[in-house]
Amino acid sequence: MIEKSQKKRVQKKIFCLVLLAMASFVLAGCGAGGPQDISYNFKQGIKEVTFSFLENAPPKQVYPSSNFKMIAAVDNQAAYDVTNGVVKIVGLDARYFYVTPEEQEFGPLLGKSILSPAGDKVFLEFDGFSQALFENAEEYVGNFLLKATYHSTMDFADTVCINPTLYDVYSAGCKVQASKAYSGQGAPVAVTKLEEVVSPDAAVEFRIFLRNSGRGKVSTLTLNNARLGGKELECEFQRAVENKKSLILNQKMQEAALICKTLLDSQNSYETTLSLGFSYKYEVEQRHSLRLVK
Amino acid sequence: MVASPERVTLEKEPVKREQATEKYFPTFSKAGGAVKGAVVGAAATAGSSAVDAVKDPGFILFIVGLLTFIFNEYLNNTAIAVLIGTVFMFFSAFFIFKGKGMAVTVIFWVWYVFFGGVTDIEGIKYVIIPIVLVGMVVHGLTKSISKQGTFGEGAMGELLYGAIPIMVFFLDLGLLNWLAQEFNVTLSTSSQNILLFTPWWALLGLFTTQRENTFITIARMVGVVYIFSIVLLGVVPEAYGTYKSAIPTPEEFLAAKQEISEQLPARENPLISQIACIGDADYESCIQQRQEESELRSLCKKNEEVQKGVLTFDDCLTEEKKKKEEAKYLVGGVIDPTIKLPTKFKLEIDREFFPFKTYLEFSSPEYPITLKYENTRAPVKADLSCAFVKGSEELPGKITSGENITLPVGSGTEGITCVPEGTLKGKYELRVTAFFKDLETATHLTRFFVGEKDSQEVVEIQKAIEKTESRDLAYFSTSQFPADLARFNFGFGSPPKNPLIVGGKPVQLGMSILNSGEGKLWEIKSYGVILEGFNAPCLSKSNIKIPSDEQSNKQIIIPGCQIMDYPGELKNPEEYLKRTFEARMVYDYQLENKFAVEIVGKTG
Repeated sequence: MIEKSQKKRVQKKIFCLVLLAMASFVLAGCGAGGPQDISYNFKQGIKEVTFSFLENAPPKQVYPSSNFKMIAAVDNQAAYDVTNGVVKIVGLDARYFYVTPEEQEFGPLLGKSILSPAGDKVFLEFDGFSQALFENAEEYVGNFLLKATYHSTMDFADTVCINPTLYDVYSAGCKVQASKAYSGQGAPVAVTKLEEVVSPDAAVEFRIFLRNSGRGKVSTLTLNNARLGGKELECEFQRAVENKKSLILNQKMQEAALICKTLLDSQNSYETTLSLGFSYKYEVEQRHSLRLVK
Repeated sequence: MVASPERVTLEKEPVKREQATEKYFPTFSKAGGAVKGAVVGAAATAGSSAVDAVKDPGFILFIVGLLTFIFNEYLNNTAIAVLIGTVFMFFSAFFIFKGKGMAVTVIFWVWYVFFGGVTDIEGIKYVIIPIVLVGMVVHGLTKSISKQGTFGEGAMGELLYGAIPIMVFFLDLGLLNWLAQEFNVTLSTSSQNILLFTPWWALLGLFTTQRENTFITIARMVGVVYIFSIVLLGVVPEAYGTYKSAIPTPEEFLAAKQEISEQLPARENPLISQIACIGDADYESCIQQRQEESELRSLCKKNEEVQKGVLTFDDCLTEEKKKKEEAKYLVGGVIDPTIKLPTKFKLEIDREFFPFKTYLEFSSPEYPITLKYENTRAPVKADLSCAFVKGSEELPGKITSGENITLPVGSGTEGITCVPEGTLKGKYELRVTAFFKDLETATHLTRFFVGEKDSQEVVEIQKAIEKTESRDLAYFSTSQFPADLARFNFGFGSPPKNPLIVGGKPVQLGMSILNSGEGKLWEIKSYGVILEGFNAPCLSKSNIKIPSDEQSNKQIIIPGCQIMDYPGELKNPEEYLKRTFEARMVYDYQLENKFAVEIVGKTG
């Protein structure tokens, strides 16, 4: 009985200590970021171009018949360069707010690399002018979209085992991994899974599964190159209509499957590099609002 | 890793239950049957069992959770909310679930609160899931090796008992509110109740209490009744929002919770309404009435005029009730909620000093009337008159304070004195009339021009608009106007209530005038729909006399027409264009009020 109550007392003490430590973390560390790990492999994980408005540009409240600025920060956090970027302000009612220009181009923006570890960043300035409120209304909230489109690329490379000796149980060569998963290649569009099928007629097939894990939408995805070692692969996207190396993605279905094949030159088992290069058009939409007050 | 070495006992303790049964439900012979004794006994039982229950961690969570819920409005600070959530989460994981899901809870906390949550779903898959699995394996092995349970118990306990505190942590922070906002869910009354009146931590505590006694049983029964009273139907999502992999931060949860709470008028807790209506002949109506009244009381408490003392609380209640009634019969258009001060006039009397009965021995009859005005836009000219009516007989009166007045911009009162032009005796109806000239009202209407698009693109644009505006497109179907005496309502499109204008084909323009005051809409001096660059023959008109038998009608339809053409920039925009258009109307309005008066005493 005494042992049990002592145990409970110890438990309570541990609980209080853990709680105290956590409470101090919450109160002292709320919002503060910890030190960032320095990693030199930028082509991993899901990274993308971020869009945000600067603090007070636009201001939280706008008064009638006044000028204001909207400054959009475009920050390339991905590991690849971005080209043909366009940022648009869509949905503002000209009765209340007038913005000029309504769209601006940006780029090229360099992606993160050893030479540019922070990635490129650009600020786009939009001049705004507010009109009068309707009659004696207290306020008007104008909702709008910040719409951005850009082109970028994504590379995938991994070492794969080519072993055509399917029935040789005592093969000393490498072992084929039928399926492999990936967490991303430093872009919003990522190769998430690779399946390798070696057929008895000395052919190998790679099934590459891609997914958009970013905050926007991929509209078109194109395969630029596919090599197994130094050899070109024959590839085609499933569901592709005309150009088999390019795919228009559905707004809801942001996934794609690519099938690549080649004939093997020898019966030996060996390890080689599978490399793929993609380009894509990306669209981002963000909802914001402007508040016009008396 | 903190884990309890003893076996988890969520099951009830049989010895205590037997003791409790014996203690609180004695045999009838012992009870004696005396009512007084029973009442005293029950009270004592509840009291002693309450003391007993305090030792139970579930009960502690119930009480403290309930207190934080009651004082919730003072806790809208993210750090405090997260701290309270953290304390409750670890308290429940440690004491209630005896450390069964401790690894998962700690991993979750470190990930979500300390590191701010990995917003990448891939990251969760490749980092969090393996850690959770390791936690399950370690816990399972510990249990198995120490012979305090099986591997499965330890591993599954980790998953199940870790998930419960985490889920309640999210719910308490405002998960439902956030989901409702994010996926643009239309909240039913019951859903609003769930958002506003569910004490999540208290409920978790209540249903995990391990002791059994009368007090806990009663509290649990009350809890069940409470849940049933507020949870009647589920939410019906009009989900079209796109899925985002980003997990919302505590700030986003709390902001969503606060925003939804601010949008919803504070109502009486449904349980209180239900209890208060027990015994009422019409139970349903009683509850509805109490809920509506509490909503109106809440609106009046927040009313600026009431706070400043300009308007009494009772007057505010009467006005809000009237508005609610009016809204039911509104045929088209809606009142613009951003215009807090519409133009309003009212003829009223001060009941304390108004001579309902005049004794001619004292003085000749003289009637003071007050014209109360809220004139927010331009000075208004008013012609005043009065008359005394008895059956078919009508005796004119004279406004001695001035028959033609101009009311300045602003709100105030104007004293009017009516004196009969002749001798009166007996009971009369005093009719006071104010004729307002050249009142002006304005209306606005929003339309979205989408250009030449196919039906699929139109659907996509509609979704984009609804997401951007955070509301259904139907909100824009009608025009909005201030709550003036008369209102001009218009719409154009295909049909006129469709806010999406597709392509460049002709569209229809529909118009109507609403008489929302208590008087007569005498004449429309002019109206005009301001559509610059639009080609339509019916955009404006002036000097429309309204037949006397139609002056009190609530709605007058104005013949519409086709808009044949509109500006090129609106015909084929790349995205969509949102534009607001206005209409103005100048009109004369007659307001009349009647009061029963009596003149007694000698004549001549």
